Parts: sequence; structure tokens; C-alpha cells
Amino acid sequence: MSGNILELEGLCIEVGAVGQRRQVVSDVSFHVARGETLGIVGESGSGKTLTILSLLRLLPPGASARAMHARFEGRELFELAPAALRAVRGREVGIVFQDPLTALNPVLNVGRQITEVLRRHLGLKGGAARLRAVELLAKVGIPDPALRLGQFPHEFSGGMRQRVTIAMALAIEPRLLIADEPTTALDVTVQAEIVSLIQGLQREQGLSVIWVTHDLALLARLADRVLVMAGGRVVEEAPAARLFAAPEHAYSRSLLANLRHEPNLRPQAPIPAASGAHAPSGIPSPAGGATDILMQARDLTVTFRRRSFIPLKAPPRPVQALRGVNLDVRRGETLALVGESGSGKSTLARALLRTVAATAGSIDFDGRNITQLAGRELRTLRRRFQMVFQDPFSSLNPRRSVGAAIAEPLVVHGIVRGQALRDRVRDCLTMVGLDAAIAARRPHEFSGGQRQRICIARAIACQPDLIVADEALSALDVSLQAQILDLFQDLKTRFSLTYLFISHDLSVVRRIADRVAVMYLGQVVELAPAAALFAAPQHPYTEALLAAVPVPEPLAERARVHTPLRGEPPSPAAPPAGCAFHTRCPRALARCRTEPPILRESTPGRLVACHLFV
Amino acid sequence: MSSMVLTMYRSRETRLGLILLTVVVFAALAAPVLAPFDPGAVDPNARLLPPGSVHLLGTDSVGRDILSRLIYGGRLSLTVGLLAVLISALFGTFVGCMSGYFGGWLEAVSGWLIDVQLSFPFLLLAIFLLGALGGGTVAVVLVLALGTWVNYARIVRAQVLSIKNLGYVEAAHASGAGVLRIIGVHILPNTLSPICVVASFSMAQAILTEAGLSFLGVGLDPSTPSWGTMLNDGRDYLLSAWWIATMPGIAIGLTVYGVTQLGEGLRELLDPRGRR
Amino acid sequence: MFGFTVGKLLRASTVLLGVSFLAFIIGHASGDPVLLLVRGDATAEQKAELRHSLGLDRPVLAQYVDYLGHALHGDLGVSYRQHVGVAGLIRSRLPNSLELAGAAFAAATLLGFALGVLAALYRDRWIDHVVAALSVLGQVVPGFWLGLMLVLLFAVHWRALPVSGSGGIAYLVLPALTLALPTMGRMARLVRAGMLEALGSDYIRTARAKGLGESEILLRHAAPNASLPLVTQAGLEFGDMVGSAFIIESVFAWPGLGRLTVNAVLQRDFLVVQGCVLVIAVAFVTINLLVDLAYAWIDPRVRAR
Repeated sequence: MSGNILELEGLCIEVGAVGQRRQVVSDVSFHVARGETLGIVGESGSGKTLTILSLLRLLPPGASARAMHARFEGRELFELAPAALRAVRGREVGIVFQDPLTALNPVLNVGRQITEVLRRHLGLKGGAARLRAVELLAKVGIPDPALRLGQFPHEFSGGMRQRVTIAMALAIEPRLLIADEPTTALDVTVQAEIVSLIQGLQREQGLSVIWVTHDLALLARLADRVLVMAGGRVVEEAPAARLFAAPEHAYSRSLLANLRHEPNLRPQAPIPAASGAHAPSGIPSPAGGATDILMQARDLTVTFRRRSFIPLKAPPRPVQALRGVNLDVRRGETLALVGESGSGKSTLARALLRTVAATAGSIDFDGRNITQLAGRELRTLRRRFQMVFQDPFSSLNPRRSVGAAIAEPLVVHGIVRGQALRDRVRDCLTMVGLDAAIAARRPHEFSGGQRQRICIARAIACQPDLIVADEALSALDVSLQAQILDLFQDLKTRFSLTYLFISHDLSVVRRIADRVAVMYLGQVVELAPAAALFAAPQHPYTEALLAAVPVPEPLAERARVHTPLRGEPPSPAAPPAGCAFHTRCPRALARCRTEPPILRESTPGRLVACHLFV
Repeated sequence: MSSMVLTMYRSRETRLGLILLTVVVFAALAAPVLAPFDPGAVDPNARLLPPGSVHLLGTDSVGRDILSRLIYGGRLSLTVGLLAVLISALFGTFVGCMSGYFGGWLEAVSGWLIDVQLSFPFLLLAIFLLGALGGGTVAVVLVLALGTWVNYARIVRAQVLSIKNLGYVEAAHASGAGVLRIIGVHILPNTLSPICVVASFSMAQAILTEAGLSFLGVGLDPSTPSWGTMLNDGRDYLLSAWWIATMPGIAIGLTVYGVTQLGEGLRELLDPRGRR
Repeated sequence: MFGFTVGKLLRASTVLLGVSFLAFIIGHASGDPVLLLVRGDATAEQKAELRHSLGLDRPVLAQYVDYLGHALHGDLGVSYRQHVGVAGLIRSRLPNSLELAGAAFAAATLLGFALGVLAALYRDRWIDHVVAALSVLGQVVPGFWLGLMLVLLFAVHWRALPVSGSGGIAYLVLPALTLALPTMGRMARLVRAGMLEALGSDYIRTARAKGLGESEILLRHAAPNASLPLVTQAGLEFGDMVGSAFIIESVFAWPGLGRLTVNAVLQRDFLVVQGCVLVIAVAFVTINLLVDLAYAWIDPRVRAR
């Protein structure tokens, strides 16, 4: 036991007002050995964040914790005097939080926020502190560290901000690093970079790490041991290899099953384990067969300009959200649109649905040019395509009943009235797996998953041809995602729908897509049938994207050589010349710097925009 | 509705305010029944009497009963305040909604107008206008409305801006709803809560402003009993008959407190529910 | 920052133009000055002649431009009633008003901030309740009534301070306090709320996680963020304060700009009114400009927009 840097036994945390206390964490015990990485996984509400916050007594007001033992390097954390506790914080234990934007003080520059740690714990002042801060920023991979020292958090991108918080946490070379979902808010390629960064620093400084996440797959690469939490308790604790190979507890098994797309408890066609080629369950793949095009974009360009009423001040640069997109959506297929932040996928969806105006290019729907359509004609056309949004909490008007929300498209288009309307609403609710009687209730009474179902009911109410799902699963827990995906499949078969499925989550896309379009900085860089894309990606960006996705196989993950992409994703306000990806591409040619590649067929049935394939 | 009142009653702070407000409103409504004397009845023999058994709150310089004048005054002050709030709420919401939803030059112009109005000392503007319009109750109501419409415009604009980008508005747009429907069905109903909150605070503001204007002699007709005119009456007798000026002040204070607490209570109530 | 400042300056200038025009228009609408200057038995021709000699029969816009031109040179016309230069009148009263408003504003902001911080730190203890009560008191009663009550208490009952007039610090206390109270109350509440929110935020949690001391967290991390709503409100409060000052100066017989203006309005001496309004508007706009700049100095996110 002396090899343990942290020992926790019997942790209990209570929250709530006086007289209404309830336990949210019960009897949690674990230990962390020197130099090892402990992964803590759990879904929302599992208590994992509260557990680690309690270690350094950083719980929110109203929450109280007690434990039989909470020993750090032999000292009882819960019995430390305030001054001693402050000495432990920052100096011996560092924390990195989930959202770097709110974790950093917006009104102080980054340099100040780093040097104050140095001043407090090492007594460094002035120039010496600045120098060390510059070193730290360089170490976490921030270019131009001396310049960036004087900048403010909002001037950094998400990934860069997180690097800053890591620099702050590791400034005094603590012995334990606690990372609370540090990469959840980041794009998957940036996540890969941050993971590599932390692992590198860990090796260099001999750190022990507690890594908290809801994404079990991530831990396959990172963790030596894994702790599974649910409902405030520890459900299972095991070395990583064993957990992934043979989980004991039913909950751990279901978590892994969701990740690996194994059949759960629902009767459905068995899906082969994720290892490459994969067909969506039960639905014949129309790859190449159905060439009837439902929606088409040609050279679609969308530029957002911000007007400035102030003379003498240069207006901010226009944001080029879409830079000439060419895309077909075939009738009856599920086309997935993947990309990271700044790729323009949401803008593309909105441009296609005409909720955002196109600056240039054309859009065809069912053979008809709808780019300039407006007024009544456009409104009438809208019943044929609908959208499901990302955030189930803001997608429903809190003042109207669920039934009214679902009926909206029907009422607007005057499709049915009176009793027929009510019946239709009830049908829609039943079809999405909800009780028809809830039509009179208000949205706030329902959970995220249920609300998303209501939104889907609304989308199918007027029997559209096309449904666009914009990150419709991103706000849901993994187990819920599986259910909603099944619902999507079910509805597709029943109503012969066409889907445009937008997601940044490749594992979800794998389960549902027939074809996949990969977007980078406002352009489509690759378009191919799903199976082919996942088996053999062509565009270097697609390769990097797929490589960055964590796979829940510890041996495979550790054996793989991880070479994350260099640099930061460029801003849509300042796209690089030539191929937008050349600044980060490991295989960039001289040509790529000056000549933008065109999306053209590389192998039969596949399109790529890359000079390597010409 | 009743559940809202009940919830507010339960909170200790708002309970007091609610009770006070109920008392004041009740008194105003039941004035003819409640007031012991005719508010205008002059009694030369009972001038400047301190609070006592007959005249519970004393009498003023011409012998009128303070309590009765207070009760009737409440009627007038509350009515004027309420009307002002209604007018300013309608106008302010309209401007706020238009500038928030459509933006562009509409927003720029209305924003500039608001800046101009706010840069102009309001009391001065009020005195000006009352002088120009010749005074009287209608003029006072309009001027009071002028003083508070900006609050609504600002809040409504801010709300509309944030609601405009929410999922359900986009969903309505994508479903084919027209502008009128989106504003009327989706946006405005969700701005009601902040409007109610602003309404309570602007009611308080209106009562206080009316008092100020009447105190200066430019507000309501000095012969009609309103709390403001009573304060004006009492100013000259501060040293000799302090109650003439003190009582209306207390009445105003209690009423404004009640209204403000109502506003706070509404804000508390509507905020967490509306958030979800 | 430079672009930001230029933008704000431009907007301030346009607002000033608007305000001065508004004052001009209303002044003209409030009465015919010729009637003030002539005797009751003057004939129509005499009135017309006077009007012409004063330039009052020209188009309004021309008169306005003319007025503006003169104003920029410091000439605000001659009072119809008092037959002395308006600018001179204002100059004699302005320092008094500045003294009063300045003292009140300083007291309100500084005390308000201090009380707000205390109320937040010692939440739900007696000091929090006292601050809450004070702020409520300041906001539910008319300011001038509060002034009257304070006079009753301190000047009449206890004879500790003078009733009215000006002359020394003793004369300043009551009017400044009366003027300051409502603002102080609002500021204290704002600061308290801002402080509580700041203290509960994620970046404060990070600061604690870094092992920083409580006082350092308070001063360097929480206070700047908590003061932001204060800064915005300060501009609005100054506006309110100037408005209230009119009445307060009246109550306390303080020889300031407010009294001058109110009397001028009641007497239809519209050149004086215009001049006063112009001066006050300049003060307003300047204060708001400073507030905007201060806000941008504290919060770097604003500068980027």
C-alpha cells in the first residue's frame, strides 16, 4: 500500500437544503498507485465529478463530504487546515476541468493566471515568473508563447485554452493530476492531441493521473486501471485489460456493448462487431442502386458578413462558412455529414433547408431549383423537409404543450384540423415510443431522451421526404443514443425517409450511414459509401479523423502509433490559400499550398478533393 | 394563477409585500366606504391637528382629514401608475420586439432614440412636456409612460435576441411558420415573464415619479388629493405639522415596497421554470 | 481599443446633437418668449418687430444651427427674464451642482461597493440584512421625502446639521446623503449579486484549485468580474441622480443648476433652460462615455466586438 499516492475509503457526499439532504455518492473507495493512470467512467449523474472535487474540498456550496480515509501521500486530506490544504492544491495536486472557457477568468490575461501560481507556490516574481510561464506554454505546445502570454482566454481556440489550463495545473510539477472530462468539449482530433500531450507530460514528470470521463473508449488507451461508477457508487474496479475483455458487472457490460454496437436487450438483426466493414442493420444498402437524387447542392457558398456601423473601424472579416460545396442526397439513403467545429456542416444543413440564405451556388430539391424560392412557395415546400436539432432542451417551446409542438407543422400547412389533427398527434407520439396521453403536458416535465423523441415526432408529423438530424444525439447519454438510433432506423423503414445525418461522432455515424461526406473548413473533402470510407479512408483528413477516434480495445490502442495532427484548425474567417488542409497535412505537396483541389472521382463511387489522387 | 400566488405567499419576503399590496389596493377600491371623512371637506376649526382619536392621521392646513385624503390619494396615484404602465408596456414591447427581431436600421434608430432620451434629464423633459401639454391627469399619465417605456424596450429586445436563436424558433421557421406566427406564438409569450417583472418595477417608478412631479407643482392638479400633491402641501409645514408630509411618504413607501416585492417574487417564480 | 473609443465618441456626438435639438424644439414649443419681454399693451406690429430683431421669425432649423454655432463659442444667449448671459448664470451655479453630485456619486459608488462586498461575504448574517434594509429604504420612498425626513431628524430634532442652504461641509452632508441613498442601495445589491455569482463561478473554483489564498481570490479574481454590472449601472445612476438633484436642490435650497433650471422652466425662460439642458447633456454623455471605456478596460471581451 505504500506505493499508493492516494487512498480513498468510504467516501459519502450529500447535497440539498437543510432537511432535504440526499446522498449522491455512497461508499466510494479506490486508490491510485504512483505513476499509474486511474480512469473513472460513468454517465451523467454517476457522481464521478463530485467524487474528485471532494478530494480537494472544492465541492459546490450545499454539498458536504466525509470519508473514513482520504490519504494523499500519507496525509488525511479532509483533516488538513486551510493553509495546508492550499499548499496541496496546485502544488502537489493539479486539476484540469472540463470547460476551459469557464475555468479561466475572462478578465485576466493568460500570463497573469499562470504566474500567480508560480508566485504563490514558488515565490517567483516579475521577470523570472514570466520566463517560466513562457516555458510552460511552450511545453504544452502553444506557438508564440511570449506573445500569447498577454492575451485573454477568449482569444484562444478551445484546444489552446485547454492547453493553457494544463500548463497551469502542471506549473509546479505536482505528483497527481486530476483531469475531469478535459477533452469532452473538444473536437476529436484536438482530443487526440491533448491526450498525447498529457501522456507525454506524464511520462516526463512521473505523474499519477486520475482521468474522469463518460467515454469508456478513451480509457482503453489511457488507463491502467478503470473504475466504473453509476448512481453514486462504484460498480466495478479492474485493470483496463480485464475490464475491456471480460467485464463482470452488468452495467459495465452494457456500457461496453453500447460502444461496440453489440445487440443490447432489444430484438434486432445482429450487427457484426466494429472492426471495419459494416452494414446498417436490416436495411438493404442502396449504395449505387438508387440514383434518384432528392437534394443537390452545386457550388454552394455561404458567407456571413457582420456589418459595422462605425466608420474608421474596419469591419470584422467575413466568415466563409461554406466555400463551394457540391453534394447529392439520394432518395432513401442515410447520408452522414461529418466534420469538426468550423467545418460548416450545420451551416450546410441550414442552407439546404433554406433557413440560412446562400451567398452563391444553387440548391435543387426533387429536381426543382429552390435557391431563390421565397414567401408562400417556400413555406409550402417546407413540409417536405424537416429538422431535428441538437439540444432537446431548447428545441421545444416551454409555454406550449407537447401536442401543440407536434401539431405545429400540421397547423401551419393546414393539413388536418380538429379531431383528425389530434389523432395524428397521438399517432406520432405512439410511433416514437411515447404514451399518446402526454400530448397535454409541457416539455419541462420530460427528460432529454423523451424530449428528443418529441422533436422527432414533430419532424415526422407532416410526413416529409427528408429529415435533417443536426447532432441529434450529441446531448444524450450513450445508452440513450442507441435507443434513438434504433428509432431513426425504424422510422426510416416505415416511412421511406431520407436522412441527412450530421454528427461529429464517428461511432454513431458508423451505425447508421449509407454514405459519408467529410467536411473540412466549409468544403466537402471526401464522399464515399460508409463501409469503404471506414475501411480505407482516402483523404488525409479523413485518415486523421478516423485515427483519432478512440477504440475500446486496450491492446490495439496501445499498440497503435498515435501521430496527432499538427497545428490548429484554421478559422473560417481566414481560410488558408490552396487546399485548406495543407497547414496540418502530413502529406502536403508543394502544389497544395497554392492550388485548391476539386472534388472528383478517385475510385468508382468515391469522391475526394485531394491532389494526391489526381 | 392561484398556484403562483400561493408560492409567493410562502416565501417570507414576498409575503409581506403581497399583504401590503393587497391592503393598499383594497383600500383604494373601497375608498368611498373606508374613508372616515370627505377628502375635500375643509374645516377651519380643525386645522393642523396632530394625529389623534378623531382624525387618526391628523389634518392639514385647511382642516382636511389626512387619512381620507391618503385613501383617495392612493386611488388616484395607483390608477395613474397603472395606466402609465399599460401604455408604456405596450409601446415598449412593440419597439423592443421589432428591433430585436428585425435588427438592421430599425434597431440602430430605436437604439439611438433611446440613448437620446436617456441623455436628457427625464424630470426636465417631464416638466417641459407638462408645461406644454398644460398638465392634467392624461398628460401626467403620458409623461409617466414616456419615462418607463425604455425599460420594456431594452428587456424585450434582449429577450427576443436570445429567443430568436433557440431551437424551437428555428424549428417553427423550418416548419414553414410565417413571421407573424413565430413572433406571436413563440417569441412574445416567452417574453411575458420579464415583462411582468419590469411592469412591477416600472409601476413603482411611476408612483415615485408622480410624487416628484406633483411635489414640484407640475404634476396632478394640486386640489385633487394624490400622494404627491399631499407631499407638496406638507412641505411648508414641515417644522410645525410634520405629519402632513410624513404620512403620504410612508404610504408611498409601503405601496412601492409591496409592488417591488411582487416584482421580485414574479422574477423568482418565473425564472427557474422558464429556464427549463 | 482605439477603434472602440472612436466608435463610442462618434456615437456620443450624434447623441449630443440629438439632445440639443430636442431641447431646442421643446424650448420653442413651450412658449413664445416675445410675450415675456413685452408689456401687456404691446401691439401686434411691436411684437412682430421684436420677434424679427431677436431672429425668432426665421425657420427653426436656421435658428438651431445659429444657436449651436454660438454655443460652441461659449455664448448661450441672454436670459429673457434676468437679462444676464446664460453662460454666466450657468457658470456660477455649475460648481455647486458638481460638488453635490460629485459627493453623492462618490459616496454612493464607494459605499455601495463596500457594502455590497460585505453583504456578499457575510451572506445572511446581520450585516447582509442591514444592507438589504437600507437599500430597500432608499428605493421605495421618494428621495426628496427621505431628504425631508432626514432634515426633520438631524436638523430639527437633533439640531446637528443645518436645514438648508450652502456654505460648508455641514451643509453638504444632508443633501448629498439624500441624493446618494437610492443609488447606494441599488449599487450594494448589484455588487452583492455580482459578487455571489463570481464567487460561485468555475474560474473561482480553478483559482481555489491552484491553491490561491481567499483574499487574493477576492480581490484579483472576483472583484473585477463583480464590478462589471456596477460600472454599467453607474452610468444610469448618474443620470437618475442628476434628475433627482433638481428636486433635492429645491428641498435644501442648494444653489445649483437644478434649481436654476426648474425655475427657468416655470418662468418660461427658455434660453436658460436650453443652456442648462445642453450642459447637463454634455455631462451625461461624457459620464456614459467614461463608463463604456471603463467597462471595456476591465472586460477585454468587449473590446473584441
